[in-house]
Amino acid sequence: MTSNILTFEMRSGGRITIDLSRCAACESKACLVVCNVQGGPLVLDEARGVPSLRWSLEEIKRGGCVECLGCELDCELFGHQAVTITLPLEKFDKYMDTLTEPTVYRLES
Amino acid sequence: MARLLEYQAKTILRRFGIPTPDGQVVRAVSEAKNAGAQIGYPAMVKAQIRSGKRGKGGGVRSVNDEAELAAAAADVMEDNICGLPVDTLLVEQRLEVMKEIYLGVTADPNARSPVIIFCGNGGVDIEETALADPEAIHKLHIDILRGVYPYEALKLVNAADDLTSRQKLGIARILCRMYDIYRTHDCKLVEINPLALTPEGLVALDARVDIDGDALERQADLNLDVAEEAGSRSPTLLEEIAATIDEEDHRGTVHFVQIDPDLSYAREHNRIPIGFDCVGAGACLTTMDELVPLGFCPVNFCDTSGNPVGSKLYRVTKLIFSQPGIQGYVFVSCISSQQLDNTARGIIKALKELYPETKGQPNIPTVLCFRGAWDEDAVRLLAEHGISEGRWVRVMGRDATERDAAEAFYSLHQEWRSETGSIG
Repeated sequence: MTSNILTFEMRSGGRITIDLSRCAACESKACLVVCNVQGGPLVLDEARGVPSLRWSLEEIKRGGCVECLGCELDCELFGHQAVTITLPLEKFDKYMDTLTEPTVYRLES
Repeated sequence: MARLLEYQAKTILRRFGIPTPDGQVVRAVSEAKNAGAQIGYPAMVKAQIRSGKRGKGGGVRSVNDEAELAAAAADVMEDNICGLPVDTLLVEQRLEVMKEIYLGVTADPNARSPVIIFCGNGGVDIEETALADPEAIHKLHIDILRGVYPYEALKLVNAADDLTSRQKLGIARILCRMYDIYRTHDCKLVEINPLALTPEGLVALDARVDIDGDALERQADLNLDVAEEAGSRSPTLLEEIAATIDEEDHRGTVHFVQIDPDLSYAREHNRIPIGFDCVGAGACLTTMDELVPLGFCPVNFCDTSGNPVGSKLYRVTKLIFSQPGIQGYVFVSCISSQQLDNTARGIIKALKELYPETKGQPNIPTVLCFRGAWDEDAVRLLAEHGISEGRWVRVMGRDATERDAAEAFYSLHQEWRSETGSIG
């Protein structure tokens, strides 16, 4: 059975996850357009009409993905919001817990 | 540069066979009392901060019993020493000192080689000695391919006429071991000041080890929490987080330093604190030069250059906006060859995550100035994602100068303040 989730880790420790169930009906394939401009890892799986990977997971983790974030942002605007990029920041939650004042983005304008 | 704390430096010294006093690292008064009981009295209580003036600032205390130790530990940990908070102490045995000596290994940029330094008068500021009595300081430049041999170090130490041959030989051996530390750990400085002549022999009473920041990846076994060069203070947690951004990824760099971490400078001098990021350290300085006369105080320095991947911009933008109290954000690229569309993508993703309700439009004045390769794409992306339309956002392109960006930010801030009454 073919998975409907395409996921891979990036060099910086982040992860890209693509919900392929949304991609077949996507006409723009915006993620592929931007990824190919950047020389990134996404190519079209012509049989299924969804993104697939040009290289192995290991090669992508070594730096094959240029982490431009374009796949997520362009999919959000021109595709079917199928791409999610998570980029963890070590100790960031701990830092937020130490704050005694709220950050500006948590304040009302 | 990563300046180690004294106890970290002494750990390395011991590993290379250089004697140090018995001591324990503590983080509470109760732990200090336990350490005192084990080490015995008299003892020393030493604040673990990155400051050369620690002794004069009251961060080094001599104590004779448990009551004095508890009082000193509480005192040092409650007070700021040299303006720095103290959360770690080193409790050490106090030794009988007959003579103090200065030893150092560093790089001499003029000679383009390492240099070992010996001075028979230790325990004082070596820079002061260099001015007052330059002949007391003896130097030996080292051929980095050949290294240093004990007989060469001994020749240097022979300049002191009040030491025995055995003592001179011991000092020469320590100098060679310091050079080993310098090379093994990619140091910029290895310093023992003072090396004490005690009845038990030669002992390093205080030590400083600075590691080249660019070599930290090679020094993973030291397991250091380090960050960008932040002067004599310890790195802030935010700086430590920022330092992890480049850790696994060499593509472009993020240099982040909190100039005014608690906004005390901005408040004291009635300046407006703002978050700040530039492509290129030079652009950082020239943009700051334009912002400061207009009454702003960038609370952080940040240089995101060398063509960083978008994820780096995302992470650091999130950090910059997470400094409470900032009343604006300025981003300016130099005339850069880096892919500014990727830079913009990182900023866009961060803003969208921080401001989900406004789809990425910040609630503080924000000027984004893109100049260089793919700058038009960067500007277009911000428009496509609706961020440029934000009430408090101004996006500028390659025709803008640093002054234009600063003045645009000033106007925006004036409007913002009169319309919203500021924030927080």
